[in-house]
Amino acid sequence: MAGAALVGLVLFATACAGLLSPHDPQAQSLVARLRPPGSPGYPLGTDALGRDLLSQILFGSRVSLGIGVWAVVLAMVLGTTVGLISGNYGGALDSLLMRLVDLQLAIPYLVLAISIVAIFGGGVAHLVVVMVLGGWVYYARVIRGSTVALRTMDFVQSASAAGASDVRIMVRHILPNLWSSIIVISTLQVGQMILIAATLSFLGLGLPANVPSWGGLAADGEDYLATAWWIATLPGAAIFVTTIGFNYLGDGIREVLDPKLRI
Amino acid sequence: MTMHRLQRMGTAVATRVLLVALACALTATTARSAGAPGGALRIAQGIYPETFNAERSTVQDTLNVDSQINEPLMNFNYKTHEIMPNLATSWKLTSPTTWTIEVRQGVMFTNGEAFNAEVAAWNVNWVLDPANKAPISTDLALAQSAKATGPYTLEVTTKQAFPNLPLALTRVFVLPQKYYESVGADGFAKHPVGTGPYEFVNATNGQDVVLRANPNYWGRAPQIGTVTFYSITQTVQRVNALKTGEVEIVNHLTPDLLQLVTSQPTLTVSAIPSLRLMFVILDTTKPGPLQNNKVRLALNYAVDKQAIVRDLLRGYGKPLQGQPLSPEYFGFDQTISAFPYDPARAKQMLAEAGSPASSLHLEFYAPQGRYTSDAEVAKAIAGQLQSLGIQVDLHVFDWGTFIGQFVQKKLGPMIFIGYSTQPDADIALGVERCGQAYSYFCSTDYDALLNRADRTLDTPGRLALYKQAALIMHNTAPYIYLYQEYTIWGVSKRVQGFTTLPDERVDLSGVSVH
Amino acid sequence: MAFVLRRLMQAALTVFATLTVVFALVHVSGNPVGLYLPVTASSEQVRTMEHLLGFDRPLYVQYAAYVWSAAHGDLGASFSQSLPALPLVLDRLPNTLYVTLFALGMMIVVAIPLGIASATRSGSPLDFLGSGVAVFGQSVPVFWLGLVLVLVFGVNLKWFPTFGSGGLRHVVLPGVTLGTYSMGVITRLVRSSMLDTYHSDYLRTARAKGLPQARVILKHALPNAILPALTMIGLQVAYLLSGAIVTEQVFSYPGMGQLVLQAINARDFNVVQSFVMVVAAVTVLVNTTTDITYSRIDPRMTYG
Repeated sequence: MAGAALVGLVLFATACAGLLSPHDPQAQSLVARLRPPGSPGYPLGTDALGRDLLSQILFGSRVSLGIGVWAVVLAMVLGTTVGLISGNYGGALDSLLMRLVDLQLAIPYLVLAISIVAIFGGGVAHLVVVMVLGGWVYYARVIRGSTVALRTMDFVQSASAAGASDVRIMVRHILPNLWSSIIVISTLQVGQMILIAATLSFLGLGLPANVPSWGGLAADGEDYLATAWWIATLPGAAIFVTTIGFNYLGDGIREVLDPKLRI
Repeated sequence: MTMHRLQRMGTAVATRVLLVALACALTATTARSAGAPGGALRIAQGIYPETFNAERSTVQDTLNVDSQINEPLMNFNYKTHEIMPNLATSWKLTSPTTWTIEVRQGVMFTNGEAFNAEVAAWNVNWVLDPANKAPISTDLALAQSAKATGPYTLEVTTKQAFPNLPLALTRVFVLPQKYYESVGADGFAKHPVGTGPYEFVNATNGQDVVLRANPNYWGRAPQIGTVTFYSITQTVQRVNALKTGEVEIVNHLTPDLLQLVTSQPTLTVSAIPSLRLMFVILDTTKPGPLQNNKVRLALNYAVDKQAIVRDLLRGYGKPLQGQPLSPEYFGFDQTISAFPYDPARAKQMLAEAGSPASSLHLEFYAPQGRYTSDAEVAKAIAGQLQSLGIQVDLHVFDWGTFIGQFVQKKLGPMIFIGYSTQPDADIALGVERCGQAYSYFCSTDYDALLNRADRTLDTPGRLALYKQAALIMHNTAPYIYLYQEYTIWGVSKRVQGFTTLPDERVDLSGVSVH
Repeated sequence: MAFVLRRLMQAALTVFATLTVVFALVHVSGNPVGLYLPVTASSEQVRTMEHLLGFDRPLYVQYAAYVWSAAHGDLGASFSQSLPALPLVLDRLPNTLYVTLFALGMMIVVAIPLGIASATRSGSPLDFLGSGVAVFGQSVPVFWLGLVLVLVFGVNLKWFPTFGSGGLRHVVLPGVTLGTYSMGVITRLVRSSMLDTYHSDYLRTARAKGLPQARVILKHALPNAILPALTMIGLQVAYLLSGAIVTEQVFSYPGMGQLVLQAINARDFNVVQSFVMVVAAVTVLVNTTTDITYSRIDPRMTYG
């Protein structure tokens, strides 16, 4: 599957960043500023401080991918749990949890993100928190809706009549039918998380100056789009390729889990 | 000739006469309006004016708009370091604590109100009133009150000798008293009125301010019909708007974007050193290695200012001559020279001071997006210090967070900062007085020196005292002296007569569009 | 009807809670005094200014004072512009709405049909286009896209203005920039929902029974596929209104987003809070409407 191949490539590059990078990503060379891709010694060119772009992209993948994957996993766990519980039990609990979701959604996400980063500072941990806060609600709402619909279906009703516990019903009967939704949302979200980090970098927040990240690089390159397009566009391409990879991977996994879809 | 032919001739002649008459009429109209302002000028700045009351702002972009409408009492001449008359025509000290000021006669606000000494006094008192929270009131801290003593004469009394009052008054803008009192601050904010060369037409919040020429301006007649100030926050977008011809003048360009402008035959770049001086503050007030004078001096030798200016700023910067002043400032000492880049000497000095480079671990704070290439310069400085073996932890914040923590004195011991003040050593050197918000240095001797200079009325005397103060700043090195920024503008060649000023002001007198 | 009323009351409570959370966040991040005082100010003057503006009061006192005036219709004044905060935000609302509506239009007119076509014609060029749009939209940084669009269509082709507001021509580039991400999301969601329901047992039965293709799609697959899309579009409104912050920054478009970004940077609390109020109110309204519509379509949903 193309998706698995792409993701595999990205993961390989991330793991072997040290071996593959021709330079130290932080090494500045004021004489080698703004070299275009294909320059001797700098296959993907250099940025405004003369740092090698390839090295920065390779090392940046560790940061960007790490943040993205962690944030998605945590958001998925949180959001799915809330959605399942809310949809299965209904009543006051459902009301409360969905109001929480509403509250979260009502706060303009960027305002929330910017405020948190402004108070607590940038840094990987805070960025992950910000992104989990942004991501869990999508799971919760969609899973809750599907749980409600599934709950009334015959196979669930009969399991309940047979005396299965709530948890068993949720995990054994309802959850398996939700995997395709969960996977679709998850694969969307990895890329989304990386993009949110990039946006925060564009606004001047995000990771500290000496931590390379795709988003940070893309944001740094804003001024140079017309003169040194590679600074913003190549990291953007890295984000792009990674996202496509995860999306196709997700598609592939969904096909396996839901064989009826194999065409 | 036949009747028919005569008629034809007649018509031909008549037509010609009519045509000539028409041509005469047209030229006559054009000739009559040759002196009238024409054309439209569009300027894009980075910031939209947050207020139309010039008294309430310290943001130059805002003042650029507001100062077309409201004028100050006096202006500052950067070449001669002299205060020039504007709405005030002459001034002198009539007692150690009294300034007597004559104001211009025959000046009207665009709403018909007359300008006189009473209005001038009202404006000064408005700034002095703490309830109005005017930011420039700090510059007038030594002034007491103003009072009109004649139709065109006013007296300003000061708490102690204040020889620099005229300099402070270059920032006091004249608003129409009756109008302001009747519509209030809110009303004035919606429609400002002034004596200036241009008057307010309308504004779209966040986007543009439209001004038109004031036909009754007392000074040099404005030559542009309509001036529109736009605000475009992203630097690269300002360049784009200039390239497409959507605007004629843009400010705050960065050195890296200049080739986009200079490559266009219809555009030109105007750049001069500005009043903004860049430093790394070295905290001398908190315990640590930076309390050692020799360590601070050593750090000044450890930074390669020339390389930063040459490579990061593409030459659009001027290394500071070892003092927190530049030639544009009154009191600048030409005889003090810049600290040369000498990493070997720096290392030696650190060792001699008992803090060898490898033993130093310093926190370094810098803002992002506030000054030209601020984060890049800070990174470069950190890199240069690190190549000596010093461990530097660089933290970069957005400006709002940075300045909030800065005034709470939570940052340090190394802080990347820049500032510009009025071009006078009294104010610029006064930044390092004990207890000032931007001061991480305290010396009673230094303060005493400045206080004496404050009270000295003769210029050579003042200069001598400021020379001593500047030398103290050089020898005690409470900063790593970096460079003076350039102010860079992109201008369309259709604009004539536009000059840039060190305080980044927009002066449209003599500017026309073709 | 009781359901509707209850939802509206809950909506009001949500708005209030939102306000509280943002109030706490923004105030804890520091006060704006440092931004406004000149270099020549003394530490003493900093403290005096803080006191004059009430920033040295304990947070709960400031909060109580704010809620009290808010209850009387006064949401405070913008600290930097000295104008009442709520009108300032509301004045900018129409501009942001134009761009948001353009983006929503793109979702409905382009994304939904594309998602349907992509699902029903799996493997065809249309499917690739649909997947392509979905993937591209969700993987490209908004600010990068905006800057590239400006370069190509504004500077080089000169088809559109590069900044500001003032008519439909000014809305297109920001609208496309803002809507691209949501378009991707909706296309993908509709496509996958359609695929899910189209191939579900329920529909295979219907097709086996011999019902015509179009009827199967329209009457059975579509409604089930549209529901998650509806939910998602409702969620996107919140994203669009706050995502406009970045788009408006790139295009210097004078909408609410540009205002609130400046306000956050300037620690202009009242403007930030008014913005949150407005967005929260609009979002909750949209979500409540979606829920009510959902409950009409699918009565099983009505508890809670």
